[in-house]
Amino acid sequence: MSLQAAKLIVVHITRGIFFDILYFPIWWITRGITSAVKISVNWMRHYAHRFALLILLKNLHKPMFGQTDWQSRIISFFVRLVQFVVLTAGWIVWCAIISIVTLVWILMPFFILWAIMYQLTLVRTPPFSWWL
Amino acid sequence: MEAQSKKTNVHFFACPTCVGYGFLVTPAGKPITCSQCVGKESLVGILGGKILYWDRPIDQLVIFEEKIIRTVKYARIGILTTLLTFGILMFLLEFWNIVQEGESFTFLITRRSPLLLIFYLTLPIFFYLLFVYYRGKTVSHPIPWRKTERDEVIAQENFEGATYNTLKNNKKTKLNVSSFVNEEVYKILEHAFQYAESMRHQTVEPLHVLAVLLPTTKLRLIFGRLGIPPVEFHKRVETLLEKFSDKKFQQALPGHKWYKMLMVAYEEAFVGERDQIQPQDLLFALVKVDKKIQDIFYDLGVDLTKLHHVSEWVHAQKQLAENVRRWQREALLKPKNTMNRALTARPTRVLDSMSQDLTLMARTGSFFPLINRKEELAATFRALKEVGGSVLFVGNSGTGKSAVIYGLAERMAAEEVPEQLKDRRLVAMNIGALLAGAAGVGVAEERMLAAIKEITLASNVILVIEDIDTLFSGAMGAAVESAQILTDFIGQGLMKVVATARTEEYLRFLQDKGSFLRRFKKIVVEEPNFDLTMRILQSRAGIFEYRYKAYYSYDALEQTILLTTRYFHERYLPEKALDVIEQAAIYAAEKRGAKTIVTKADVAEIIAQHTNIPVKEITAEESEKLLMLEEQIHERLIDQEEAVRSVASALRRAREELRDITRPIANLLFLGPTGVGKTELAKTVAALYFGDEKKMVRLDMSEYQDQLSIYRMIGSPTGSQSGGVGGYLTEAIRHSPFAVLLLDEIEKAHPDILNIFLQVMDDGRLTDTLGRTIDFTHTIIIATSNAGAQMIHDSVRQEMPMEKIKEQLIEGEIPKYFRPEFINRFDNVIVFKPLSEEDIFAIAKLLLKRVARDLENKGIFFSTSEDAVRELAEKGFDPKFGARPLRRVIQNHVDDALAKLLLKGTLGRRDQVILEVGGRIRVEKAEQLVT
Repeated sequence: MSLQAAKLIVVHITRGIFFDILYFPIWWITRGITSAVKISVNWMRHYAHRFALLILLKNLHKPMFGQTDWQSRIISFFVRLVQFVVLTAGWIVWCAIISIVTLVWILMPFFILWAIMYQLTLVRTPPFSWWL
Repeated sequence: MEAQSKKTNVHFFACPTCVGYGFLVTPAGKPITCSQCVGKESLVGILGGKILYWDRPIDQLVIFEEKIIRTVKYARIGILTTLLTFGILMFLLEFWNIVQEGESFTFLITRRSPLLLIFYLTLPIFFYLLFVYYRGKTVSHPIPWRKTERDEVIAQENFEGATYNTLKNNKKTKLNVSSFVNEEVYKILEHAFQYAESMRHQTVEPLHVLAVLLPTTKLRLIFGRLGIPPVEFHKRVETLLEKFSDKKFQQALPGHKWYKMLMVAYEEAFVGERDQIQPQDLLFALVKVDKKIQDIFYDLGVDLTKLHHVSEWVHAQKQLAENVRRWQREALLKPKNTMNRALTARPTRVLDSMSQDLTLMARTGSFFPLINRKEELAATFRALKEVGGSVLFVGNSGTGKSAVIYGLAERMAAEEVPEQLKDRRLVAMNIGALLAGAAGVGVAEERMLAAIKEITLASNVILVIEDIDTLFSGAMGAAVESAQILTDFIGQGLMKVVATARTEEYLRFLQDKGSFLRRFKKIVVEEPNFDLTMRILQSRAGIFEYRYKAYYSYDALEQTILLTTRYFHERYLPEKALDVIEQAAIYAAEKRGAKTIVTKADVAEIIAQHTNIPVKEITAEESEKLLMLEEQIHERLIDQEEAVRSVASALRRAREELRDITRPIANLLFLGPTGVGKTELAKTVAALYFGDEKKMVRLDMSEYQDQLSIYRMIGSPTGSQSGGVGGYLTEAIRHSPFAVLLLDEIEKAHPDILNIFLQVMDDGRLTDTLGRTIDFTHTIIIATSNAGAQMIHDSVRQEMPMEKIKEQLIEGEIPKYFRPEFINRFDNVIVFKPLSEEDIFAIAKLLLKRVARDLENKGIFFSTSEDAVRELAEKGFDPKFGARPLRRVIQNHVDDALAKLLLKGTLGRRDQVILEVGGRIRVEKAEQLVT
């Protein structure tokens, strides 16, 4: 039994190493990236929903507070425009942050690989050194 | 093809050599692998056009292997985590160095150092661990329920004429069930195997899985709800397991039932729309495939449906909580005030003063989640999408009209509604509040106009008016004017309205208002059926359990629905059931303290308190009483053996529920001369069965001799002068449906009136002129008649046997008065015989006992001698008039004399009054205590 057990342990460790260690990088650049992008897009959508951007856009020409005289309409339009611009700007900032986080996430394996090679003096330039 | 089991849609095909076991047993008891199927796919099943098979061997070696895999997995994760921690430590050290040196943080990337090398080498571990975690959470290979329609599961036509061999060799449409089993279930299967092995059982059966499942929390929860005592259950399982012991035991191997169970578990998970097979699927599967396990459950009063309901209940509670959380996140985006997110609305101050914002209430979680009602909501959305479209919910009170509106408010708060309804408010107008704040002429009308103006200008308000019929009915003065204004605006389609009306009121006040109604889409809110009510009760049970610290068994909820359906006809589900379960929880907690289980007996007690009829399970004491019913009746009624026996049997049948519940409890016809105890027996029945002799609705049928008197009975037709008022009979039974209905001297009623009773006695129902259906299924109908009295007299005098008299009466005398179909409706025609002198003597004793009881209340003792009673009996005996003359004699000779004595003040407390022969009354004064 103990020999069999030892055999099994060896088999599973090797299988684990081969399967997981080889599959993991492939997963990262295929499914991993897809799900990361999906999550960040959902996040952006959620913020668009929170900032009510679509509602604002749809009602751009509708007078605010039911005031339908022409003066109010003009005021409404501009107020809404300002509101829309400000909120959209805010949303874009959010989106930028989310995009950066996602990008960092996606590029992480390349960064690590590069960093290791750099540490091992296999390459001369440190990773992403042009950004530093 | 094997005969399809009733409970599963999986068709099984077994290897012909080993019948699905995968192994054969030699005479010496040694199992050998089956030569045909080689132990693989020994049993295949067909479900939803797919061939199911199980391909994951289970034996000691495999279990050992699995254990090693798990250990290796955990060890790997442990080692990697340690390495990662080490790497992070190195990074922190380097970071510290850089800070100490006062260098730039970019050195973390640009510097070359062994510490950073270690950190960068270990950093991928972090991402690898995330990957492992993510993979563990997602099911990469789910059960294909999303791809298949549920109905297709049953379609099997692709495999007509299939055999085991063709199916096994079909590679295209095969599904390996073992790939859908999650870790938890696999561990259970392993345990079951090891359990069988430890018990030295040759075949591993579903029963072993059950034995392993028993101690799990989920099953204990299910058993708790089912009210199954775990010890009792365990005992039964053990008894069954003992039978599997095999002296020739070599090794445990899964049997064909094992494979069946796994395939049925797959079906359960598929139908339940789960991605993997869960422990509860295994539970159902093992109950479905193993008759013995079914028997254990059945023995403890649980069938599959019950098990299913309870499991769903346990599952649904989790689901409900999850839904509520998700919904609350969404609802938080809804504005807290009257302004919408688009800022197009206007403040509605006047409207706010007389209304409640339901969306706002929903946002703060004021309502219970709406269960089901998908069709009603879909219809509502469809109607409200239209320009000026409004909705009118029509249904009986308590069926859930308001609940649907609250559900709508919840959906609106979370914006889970069609585009046209997004960013709007649902506001319930309260007409009472409008009038309450209006002092002076025209103020209410003015406020109504202002509110309407606000609604039209704000354009984000959907108005809710509950009981909209009140706008048309009964209101006077300012209310009627305001209502008129409102209905005019609604009629013009200027606002969206969601209204409710009770069915009765809708028919009375709204049906003919065509121009008003054309704005509305009428949606009928039906009383929920058993299943839906059960789910509603289950969803609310949690609140009551928390509030009263008493926990419901499934039986309690089931009993509530069944009993309220049967006994509370004036009210509707689910409201009446919700009321009862709440009261039952309070009752149980009061009686037995906190943390008790609400049982069906508690529910029966609550129902009994409301209805005053015995619905509880019969106790030993009561059984004894029921068996001695004749003696009890005889305490009040002398002789009439046959009548007493018939009535007692009818009552016993009713109490044991051995009767047709769609008819009255009993329909009895009492025939006999006057004064022989017919009415007395009816009173006794009321007292014994309904607990009080006043529980009797008595109709003197001689008052219903003409045809038109029918309207006095069931109410005048609408449109007549006294229209709209219920009849005497229908109203009486409506208000006390649990009673004896005594129809005195029925032969005197008009034949058309008797026709009404044909239906009552057959269907247990009667519809009054207002269209209400009155339920007679909890009444005992007793009709009395003097018809044939003379014949009875003569026959008794000729000493004809009672059976013969009855026969002659039914064939000869009775048809003169009643039509055969009427006679036929009676469960029993009981003939009362004239009273003999001996009977009268016994009755005299009974009546004098009552006199004694009355006097005892005044503190005076009364006694008689045997001779004195006999003398009275002789005086009161008249074969023609039965016991009535006796009553008069006692009244004249005893009651009168006593009354005089009492008035004179000669009788004091503790005095003894003795009735002597010759009608003399002697008083023995009690000893004076004060001189």
